[in-house]
Amino acid sequence: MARPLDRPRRDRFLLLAILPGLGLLLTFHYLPLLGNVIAFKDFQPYLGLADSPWVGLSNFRVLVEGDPLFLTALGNTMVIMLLQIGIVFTLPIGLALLLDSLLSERLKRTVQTILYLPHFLSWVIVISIFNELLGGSGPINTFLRQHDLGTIDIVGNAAVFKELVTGQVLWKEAGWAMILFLAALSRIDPELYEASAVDGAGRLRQMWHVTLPGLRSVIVLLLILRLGDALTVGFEQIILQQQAVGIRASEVLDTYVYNNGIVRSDWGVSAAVGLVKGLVGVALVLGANKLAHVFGEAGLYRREAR
Amino acid sequence: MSYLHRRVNRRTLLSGATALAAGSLLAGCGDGGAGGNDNSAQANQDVKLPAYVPSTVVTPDLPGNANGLLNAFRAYPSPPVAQFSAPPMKGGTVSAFVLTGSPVPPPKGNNPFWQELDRRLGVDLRLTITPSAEMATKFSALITGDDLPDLIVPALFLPNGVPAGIGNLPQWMGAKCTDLTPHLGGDAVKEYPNLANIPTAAWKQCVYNGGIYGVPVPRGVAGTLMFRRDDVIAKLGVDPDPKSFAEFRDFCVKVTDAKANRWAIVNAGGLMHLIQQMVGAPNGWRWDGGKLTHVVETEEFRKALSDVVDLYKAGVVHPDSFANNAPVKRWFNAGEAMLTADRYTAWPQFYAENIAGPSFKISGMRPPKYDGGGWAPTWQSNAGSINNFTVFKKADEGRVKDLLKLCDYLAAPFGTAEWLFRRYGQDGPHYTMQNGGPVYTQAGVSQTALGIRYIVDAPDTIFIPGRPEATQTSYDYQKTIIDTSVPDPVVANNLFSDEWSRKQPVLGQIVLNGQNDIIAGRQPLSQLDQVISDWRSQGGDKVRAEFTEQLQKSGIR
Repeated sequence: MARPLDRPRRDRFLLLAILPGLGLLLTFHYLPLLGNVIAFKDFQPYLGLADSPWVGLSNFRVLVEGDPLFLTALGNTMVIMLLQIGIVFTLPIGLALLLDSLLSERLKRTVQTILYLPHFLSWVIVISIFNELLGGSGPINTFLRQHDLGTIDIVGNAAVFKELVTGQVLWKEAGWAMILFLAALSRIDPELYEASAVDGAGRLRQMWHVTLPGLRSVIVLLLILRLGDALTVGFEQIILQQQAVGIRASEVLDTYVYNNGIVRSDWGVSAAVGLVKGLVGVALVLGANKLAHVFGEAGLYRREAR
Repeated sequence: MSYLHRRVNRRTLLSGATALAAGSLLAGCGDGGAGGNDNSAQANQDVKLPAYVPSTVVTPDLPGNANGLLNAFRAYPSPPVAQFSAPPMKGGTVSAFVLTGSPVPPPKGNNPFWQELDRRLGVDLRLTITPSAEMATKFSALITGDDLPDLIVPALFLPNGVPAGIGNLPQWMGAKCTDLTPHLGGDAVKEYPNLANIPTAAWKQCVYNGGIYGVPVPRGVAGTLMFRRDDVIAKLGVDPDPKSFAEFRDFCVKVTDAKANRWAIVNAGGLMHLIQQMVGAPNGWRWDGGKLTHVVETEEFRKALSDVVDLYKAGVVHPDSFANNAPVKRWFNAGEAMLTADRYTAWPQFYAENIAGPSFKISGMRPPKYDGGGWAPTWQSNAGSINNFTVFKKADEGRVKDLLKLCDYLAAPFGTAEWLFRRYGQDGPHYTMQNGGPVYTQAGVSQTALGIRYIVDAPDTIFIPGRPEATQTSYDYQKTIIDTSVPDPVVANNLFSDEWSRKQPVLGQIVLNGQNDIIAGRQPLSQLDQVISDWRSQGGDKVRAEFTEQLQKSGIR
């Protein structure tokens, strides 16, 4: 029987090696968590954390009493979240399937590169591109105006803001998200396709019975990860366009926290909203993971059977 | 210790919780009594302000006046007057928390300008340079720690341009910063001639807690004006000086040609600013001796807003104007828009960045009275006559004197060799003289952006490098508007309301969001009633009460 200290002794160098990383994690991820205490305080920066008075749960009142701005933010967040999970998450799967069906290896690689390059652009640039292109004085509208065709009003139109935001995420991230699915596709055993072909399966049936089951575990894993920050619907992207469409159409939880906390110096309430948002995220991940187990997937983690 | 007590009192009092207990504690501690922390209007009025001794080191080409008209220079005095023969300090270090509106400069090791500055100042100058957009957050972080630099620029504006809310700023200054009154009040300032050269109005804005708590960065009171592309408008053959609102509307429609990518104005905010002045809306607040009214609550504001809605619908505003950080200066420079409202300091900037070549010509458009019959009074800057002020960390007397000597050097007036070096660096590596004005080299642009001009500065001057005729135009415009220009009564009297300092961002946003929603057509004009009621209930009424009390107590009419 192995003594309890055998493994640590054997792995001591490896254990030492993780110390710096662990320190970093503790300092920058776990230590700042303590700052969440301001959710229970009337925090005033110059008074500091320690001297700001305790106010109990009163900062959380906004969550139950329904500050109209908070409700707007919540509503917008929900709609955008659904759009992101419904469209932004699923479309790359289709894209990967399409690309995988291309025969020319060179064409495949070229298309793939073109699709994922926008991922490396920062939001400021992406939004500038959209604004320049689709804006009121952009080339499209200028062309339309010069030919008396009437202009299209997309940028700065509150009515189509959520569609615009979704479109931007798709353009920027779909190609990148596709890569993981492509990798999973390449791992599917070609023999399965051959066998199914011998059994007389057409391309559609192959996709249904071979390809999608092969992708399932990756899809579930990514979906769970995505759910964890599902309520994070793109702070930078939205704050950069907020002025153009007004608060009503564009306020989401993240921008609410920023506008309330930094801009209006209402630190306590913002921290409370942020804290609850984090808790909802954790609940979503745990829930989704449980659900995955029910469907027989490994999910994110699984308690080891003893 | 007593200070700490007071702070707690104030907090509890403000939060409205346990008012009773707070009241009794308050009585026990003697709030409002004499001492360093009394920030009442009365205490502040009694402060002995620094004597004003205008500098005679350099004579301006076009003289300013006491109403706030700035001195103007057609060319930089040549050779520049050397004011100092020795460095103001003798070794040691000075740390400062400053802002910059330019990209952050290279660090000292790679920055010959900074190294030379150290040499000329005789000190190791350690600067924490913060982009202006991050000032509010960085300042909040700075004051939570106790490790303060020697010189601190308190936060100014939030990223969206609304003044940052610093609650209890006076209390913080009272606890951590130096009361400079013994060093600067009355004739004491004469020991620092360049500080004595700063006009009294600027000093007034450094007064808190019954003392002088900072050194100012003075600016003109002329404030925001409507810049106009005279060169393009002349080509279009449109009268550049409308005499009434009707004529102004006509002007806007005539210069707009969307097919040619040309609109009358860069944004609706500029229209609001101009038309409010036409209808005679108050600058910030209206004080009629008994009642204080904020501009948003006035009929004039509503009238202006409805006209702007109409103009916006008429399509005279640049279509992308509501975008965040819309490049309005670029549009104006490129001739995509004929008008843009901007601060006086933008005048030289437009010339420096213009792409139209030597024919480029701009001037200011005066607001006519709404129904014609003369010119409307313009609004003075809502920042009063300063850009910001800088506070000194508490220090012993000798140290404070040294720091003031440093500030005296940094406030050397326009026309001196010290000013030229401070702003433009050294001839050759950082700038070249062209047509009587310094023009930055690439290295000059990046290296000189240290933000030291926000520690303290000499009085502003009108000077457009290399364009004497533009300097003349700018001076002439200012001369015509300055005598009739009106200040914000709250700013002019340097009133402090804790609620205002705290809630200004919230209130500013309520107005800005409401105004934008209405102009963009997302909400009807009647929504303004809701905006006003939100503004009042979320702090506006309380601010009004605090200001009114101070105005009444000090007998301001």
